[in-house]
Amino acid sequence: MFSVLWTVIFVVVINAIIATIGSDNIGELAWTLWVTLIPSPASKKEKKLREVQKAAIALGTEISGVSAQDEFATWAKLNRKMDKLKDEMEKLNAGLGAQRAFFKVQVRRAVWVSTTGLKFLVRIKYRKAPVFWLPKGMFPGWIEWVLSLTSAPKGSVSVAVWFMVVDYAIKGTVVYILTKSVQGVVYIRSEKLAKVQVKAKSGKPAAEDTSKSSSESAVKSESEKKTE
Amino acid sequence: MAAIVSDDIMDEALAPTLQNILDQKTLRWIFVGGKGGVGKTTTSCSLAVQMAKVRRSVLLISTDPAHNLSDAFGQQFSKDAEKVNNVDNLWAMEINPNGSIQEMIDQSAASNSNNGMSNMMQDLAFSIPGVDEAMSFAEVLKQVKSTDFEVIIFDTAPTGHTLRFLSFPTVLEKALAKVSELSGRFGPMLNGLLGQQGMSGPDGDMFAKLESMRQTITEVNEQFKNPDLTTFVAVCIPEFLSLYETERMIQDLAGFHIDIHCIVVNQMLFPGKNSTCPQCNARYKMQQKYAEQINELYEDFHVVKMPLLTEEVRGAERIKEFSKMLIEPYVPPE
Repeated sequence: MFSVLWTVIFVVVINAIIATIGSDNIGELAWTLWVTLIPSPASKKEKKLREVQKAAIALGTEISGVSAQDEFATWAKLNRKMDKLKDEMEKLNAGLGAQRAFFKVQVRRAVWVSTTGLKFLVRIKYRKAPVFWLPKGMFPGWIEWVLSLTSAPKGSVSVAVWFMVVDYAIKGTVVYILTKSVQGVVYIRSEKLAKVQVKAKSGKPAAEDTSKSSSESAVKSESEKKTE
Repeated sequence: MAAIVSDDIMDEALAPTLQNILDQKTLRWIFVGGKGGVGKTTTSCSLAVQMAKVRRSVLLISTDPAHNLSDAFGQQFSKDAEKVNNVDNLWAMEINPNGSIQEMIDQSAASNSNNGMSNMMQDLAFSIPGVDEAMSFAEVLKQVKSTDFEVIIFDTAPTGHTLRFLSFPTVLEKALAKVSELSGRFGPMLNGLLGQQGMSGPDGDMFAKLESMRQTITEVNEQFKNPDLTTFVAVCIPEFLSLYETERMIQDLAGFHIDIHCIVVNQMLFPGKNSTCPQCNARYKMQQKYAEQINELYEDFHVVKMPLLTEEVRGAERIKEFSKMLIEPYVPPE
């Protein structure tokens, strides 16, 4: 059975994942997928824009190969073409920019509903359900009362409290994993760096020290960011 | 940018003369423009002289702050149209693009020196970019419209100014809307604070002036966009920078939907075959290169090539002499 306990964990994990990716990035990703995979006026425009951009880049290289002084006519004609392409690009960009912004707002809304909204819903729906029962007499009465807030039966852990606990644990895990992986990467890098420095003979200990301390500070700042 | 010309002109589209402009009887406005120092004034004077031969009345206006009309004709002109000596049917005037706005500021400052609100609004209105040029231009256009010259030829200031003026109405419209909105919103409040009354007098006056100016410009711009009424003559010399500017100007004009189908290439050198002047020969070679490029690039234009003379083109007689070459292509002596 898909109990309340697992529902809460599931919701929190989804929340944590989305928060780490960032809803803006999700919007960007969704827009790219939408434009490349699903045929629509927007995707046509995007395709056109890509083509025009490619053409402009090709034309740019062509122009740079033509001497303005010696072949002014050719050069000017190419530049006229370039102006036209740039105009077209601007128009396409303006149209797409509005559509893209609108799309991203929609995505952000959807993301909000499926995270914060879902959390809210679960909290209200199961507000009276006990997530699990505490062994009798394990805690004094007032702690039992706090753990059953807001309206779960006394002696059980309520959804709200369970949310808090899981939230804390998951966030801590995420931060831990991230910190560790970053640390690992930095460690490997500094290891390599040290080897390179050793190879470059006369391994200067001072240089190694500074690289280590800088990598440490990098890790620190990274983990600080995450906890924020 | 394709020149919109009537069919009979199209047939001789490559004729290297300005005859087509003389023949186009519907023309009312002719602009002569290009980079500084390429011979705009000489060209516009020459064109005016030729026009005056086939039209009832022609007005030549210089909007260049460095006035050269007086120099070219050897006669002092002012901001009122004046008959040019020794040339029939031709009048000329010189306007200072910075004059009229200063006058207006002084005038209004004298009439209401202690009205803080209206002063502020004026400062705002005058800070609209390009407003001064446009104002003087509008002033002139008003004058010109009331007279009945058949053709009006503008000897414009170097490139940028003209174009800015032509794009002006939209800029002004937006800016005016903002300023008048501001003054409408805060004017009464500030007046209440300052304990003054009757700001509508001088201030309203100024906005009326700006508004009428805008109307003039919009109206005239409509005419400028009509290829039957208006054309632009680009003047350049066969050198890279001049060509570059000309190409840009032509593209910009196309953006403003202003007809242009004539290019005058000035200062062409034609040293004789036996010339021993190394500079002349080298320059001749370079000029020929650019001349070829011009022919290739502007095949749907009338490209008129004018020789560099050994004397300055000054005085009505010399201009008359020079102007013939706009109509009869110059043939270099063998």
